Amino acid sequence: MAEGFEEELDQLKTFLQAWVEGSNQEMKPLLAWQFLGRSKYFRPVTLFACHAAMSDAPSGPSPIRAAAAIEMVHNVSLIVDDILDRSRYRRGKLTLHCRFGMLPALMASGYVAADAYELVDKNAFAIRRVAELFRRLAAAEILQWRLRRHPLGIEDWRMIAGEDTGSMFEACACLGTGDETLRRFGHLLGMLYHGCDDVGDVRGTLALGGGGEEDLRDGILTLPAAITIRDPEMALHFREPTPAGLEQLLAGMQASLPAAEGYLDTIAAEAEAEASRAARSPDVLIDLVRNTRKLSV
Amino acid sequence: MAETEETEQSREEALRRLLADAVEVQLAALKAGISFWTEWIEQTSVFVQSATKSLSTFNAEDQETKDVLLELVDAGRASIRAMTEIPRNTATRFIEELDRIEEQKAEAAKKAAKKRPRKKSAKKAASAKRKAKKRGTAKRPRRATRVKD
Repeated sequence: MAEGFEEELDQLKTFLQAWVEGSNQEMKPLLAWQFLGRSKYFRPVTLFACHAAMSDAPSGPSPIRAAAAIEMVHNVSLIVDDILDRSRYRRGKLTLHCRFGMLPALMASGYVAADAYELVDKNAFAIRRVAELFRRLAAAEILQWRLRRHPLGIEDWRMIAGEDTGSMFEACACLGTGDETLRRFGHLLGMLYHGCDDVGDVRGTLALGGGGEEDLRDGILTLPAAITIRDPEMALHFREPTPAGLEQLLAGMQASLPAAEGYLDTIAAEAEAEASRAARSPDVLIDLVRNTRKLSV
Repeated sequence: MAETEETEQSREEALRRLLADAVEVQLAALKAGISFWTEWIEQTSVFVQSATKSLSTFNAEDQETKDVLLELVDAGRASIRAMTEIPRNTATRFIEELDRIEEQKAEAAKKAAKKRPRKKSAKKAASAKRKAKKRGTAKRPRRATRVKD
């Protein structure tokens, strides 16, 4: 995934290490636990790739700071999500609230959010993008929860995925280029990532995290679910889940995987076309799309 | 004299540039307008084709009407998205629509509840809930991981 950006990622890791070291004494162990472990760094890689696609200049301090800010926003969303899910493990180790307690974890998320803004305080455009991202993530979570068990369609999934993961990757694209040129590309890439994760869950791809069965029990509209519930009988099981109905739904979702993969191919093609249209050097973005697409297959 | 001529020439040059700029802007606006309407016509045509195809299967016995309707709804939304490219506006309208449906459902549930004999008074139910909470047996809603990592 991170091919070609090892140097930038090393700089980012050093930056985050220094940030943790310089943080408040009370916060230091929590931040080290959350930030200095395993991470896929997919969002920072997206930011660096967008920067490289529009500029020949190497990623200086500004893209590194912006990448750190994005990683922080992402971690705030993970901490809050783990608390709400009562998840015990994340990335192979105890979640922050399980290791340190609920109150410290919640306070750490606030601390990280504040520092994310401070990292980009010299750049009004970046501040606005971070603020936009927090707003959209919050609203998307409420929307997704409120729409659970509604027998909706693929277009609705597209809207949810676009606001949830899509907004995060839009921010990466905008912060990487310093303008709006690759916003739509970021949106499509985020949606692709969201869909690949949905399909990967059904395939039991543990590497991507999450859980297809849990989503199904909660009536969350994933891409395979949106395709499966086109069948009215399946839509009824989705709306009023029973153990037998859930089994049928799971079987239906497995059967829907070729259609879901086909739809993901369409999004990948849209993203590649957008990269070719908008970027000065689209190859790096096209590689990113192709690597993302591999996540579900 | 020479100076006046020079001033006039530079004024003419400035005017020429201004006019050229204006024409360029007008052309760009025209191009954008044409491109918008072309896309609009294309998208409308795609949707109409899809709708016609779906509607024509209503009479076929091998496909459920509801299934066709779902496809049609999806095609409609795809058309709106492609035409406007402003998904947030579409989302707002869509959410408003859902709100309206939810309100209607809540109203209907309220009416149905009024007709049903009550099993337990609200006071008793609240007290049972408090007791269960004290014992630590109150049901807490679970939630699956939503944020993609």
